[in-house]
Amino acid sequence: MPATVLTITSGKGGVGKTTTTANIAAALSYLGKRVVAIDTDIGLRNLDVVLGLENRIVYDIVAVIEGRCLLRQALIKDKRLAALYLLPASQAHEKSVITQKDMIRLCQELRPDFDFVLIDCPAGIEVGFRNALAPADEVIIVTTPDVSAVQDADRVIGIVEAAHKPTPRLIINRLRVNMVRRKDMMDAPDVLELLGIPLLGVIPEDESVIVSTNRGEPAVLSPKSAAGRAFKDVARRLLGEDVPHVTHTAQRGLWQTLTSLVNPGRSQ
Amino acid sequence: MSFLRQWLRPPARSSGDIAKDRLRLVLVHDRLNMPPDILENLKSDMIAVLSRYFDVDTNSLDVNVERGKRSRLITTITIKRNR
Repeated sequence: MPATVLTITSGKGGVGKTTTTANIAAALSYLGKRVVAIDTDIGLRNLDVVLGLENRIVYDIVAVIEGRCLLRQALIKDKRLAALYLLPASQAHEKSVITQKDMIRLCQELRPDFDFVLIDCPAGIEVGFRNALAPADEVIIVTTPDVSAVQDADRVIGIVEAAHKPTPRLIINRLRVNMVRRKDMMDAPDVLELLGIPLLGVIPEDESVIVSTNRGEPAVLSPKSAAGRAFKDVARRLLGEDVPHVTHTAQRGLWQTLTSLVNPGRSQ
Repeated sequence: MSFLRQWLRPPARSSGDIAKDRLRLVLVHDRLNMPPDILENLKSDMIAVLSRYFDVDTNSLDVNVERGKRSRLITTITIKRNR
């Protein structure tokens, strides 16, 4: 079976696209799939550092497209996972050096040898985003539960649908359970209702992600990481498994508890 | 007695709910690609038309845009009584 091309995008920067790409890639590979992750953020590459592979870069995506090396020469094999590869972005070029056609051709070349091609998209909705979107079979939208990220996610969903791609699926990243309980952060159902696309996963805010990024190891590889477990669940859902979503429903106050005892029909 | 007043006061709206309400409105503007003043004109035009047939609650008009294969504009308004 040729690979599925998944593009991971968000509109807004800083919501965790690269972390999400690294972790889904590692989790799919951990589950036995052959995975290649492509960093398309030319000029601002990060995925290599997040995966801890920055010392091994010889060639990059621009070198492949310009024909200065073979595709397999530019692929960097992960040091921990047997079937995980990275195609790094170039640091010395601009996003406009590659085209949508280049990206489609590149993915066609990768499809026979992999189960998943994951594309880490640059922030924004300009040429770099369009390039990353062009070869996608499926699109994953990453957002955080705050107003600017959700607003940008909505805009990107509109563009993805206008490009005749299937309805994207949503990852809500960095959800702070304590703030949701205090109702000082939107909960996953609120974000889903606003954006109106299916949920792929909710990733809790977790300090271990910063620690593992510091070390250049995806959080999915540390068994104690709550975010890592949530990313593993995402990977299983991508493989078609029916993994239930963990809910973070707001804690009831004393008053709600009392009124629900008196009148059970009022509370949900 | 201030503690009692504090206690009896209805709880302030949570910032999470405020965020959701604000976004609901912002996303309607974004999806219609319509600046707020034009949307207000649309709303008052709709109210004017509906008022010719019904006694409507002019403050109750709610506009929403649902996305799918084709965007759908969904409006609801409360009718006080049939004319």
